[in-house]
Amino acid sequence: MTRQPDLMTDAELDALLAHASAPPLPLGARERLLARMVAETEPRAGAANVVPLWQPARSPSRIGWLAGLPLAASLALGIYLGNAGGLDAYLPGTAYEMLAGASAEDAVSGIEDIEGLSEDDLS
Amino acid sequence: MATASHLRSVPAGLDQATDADLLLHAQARDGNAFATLVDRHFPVVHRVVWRMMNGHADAEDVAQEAFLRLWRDPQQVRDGAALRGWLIRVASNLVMDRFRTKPMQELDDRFEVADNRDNAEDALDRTRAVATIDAAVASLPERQKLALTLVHFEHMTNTAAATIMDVSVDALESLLARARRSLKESLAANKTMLLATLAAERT
Repeated sequence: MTRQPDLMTDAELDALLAHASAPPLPLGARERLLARMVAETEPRAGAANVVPLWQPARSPSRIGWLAGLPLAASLALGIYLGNAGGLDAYLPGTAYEMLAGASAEDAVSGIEDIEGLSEDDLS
Repeated sequence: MATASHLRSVPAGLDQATDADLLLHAQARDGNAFATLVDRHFPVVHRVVWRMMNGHADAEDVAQEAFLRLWRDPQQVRDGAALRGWLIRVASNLVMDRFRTKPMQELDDRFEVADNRDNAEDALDRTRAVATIDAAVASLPERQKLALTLVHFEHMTNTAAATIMDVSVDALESLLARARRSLKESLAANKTMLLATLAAERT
């Protein structure tokens, strides 16, 4: 591997870099910065009337939990009563009949078996 | 409540205070202490940002943003003595973020690389010579440019620059070496004319 010849010495590069542009400080930059600082410090007039498009997520409040308690109790009561059958009489007629019909089919389907058992018992 | 006009006059005692003391006052929402910090450090922060952004007009806005972040929460700076480094680090990170989200497309015309292939024999005037040097610096990758800016243009030690850039001293020296090699390569073609033109200016 051949070494590339040195294109420029460090001293030459430093001499060139010494002529690079010096950034000018913009006129009034300090005042503009301090004005922005003051603007951030002071509450803005009418800021309360502005509704931001995005709002940070709020922490859940205790009132929210309290409002959920009667809803949860209502759901638990409904499940209990429905399971106990105490609400069947209040179901709409069609639904009640479907349920009753299903029970009747179960009963009818076992008649032949019952007759067979009866004959065995008589003999 | 402090106003911008009130902050224009800094009390005599504050300009003698250390950065750490001023930072403590700034934590107590002392606008005058913050204004003194601005006077001390805004020029260097602006220079670093200006070089990293190749003279883009947003350089002032980015430098301001670094100071506003300090004002919003001065307790972020744990070591008041390292405030300047903290400000430069925040500002340079803001520049990097801008480069990631929005490539610089509105570079100052002065920073366009001069094409001297057709008239390489012509003498460069000082303006073109400086523009060529600026363009070579502007074409460096961001981290190489930051390392060069801190060490060469802001005369910081390698250790201080490495701390600001959050790299080891060896890594910083590597960045510097690569930056200087790139500059040599890009400026070599015009080296004789650049040196002659700029030397003639001094005489």
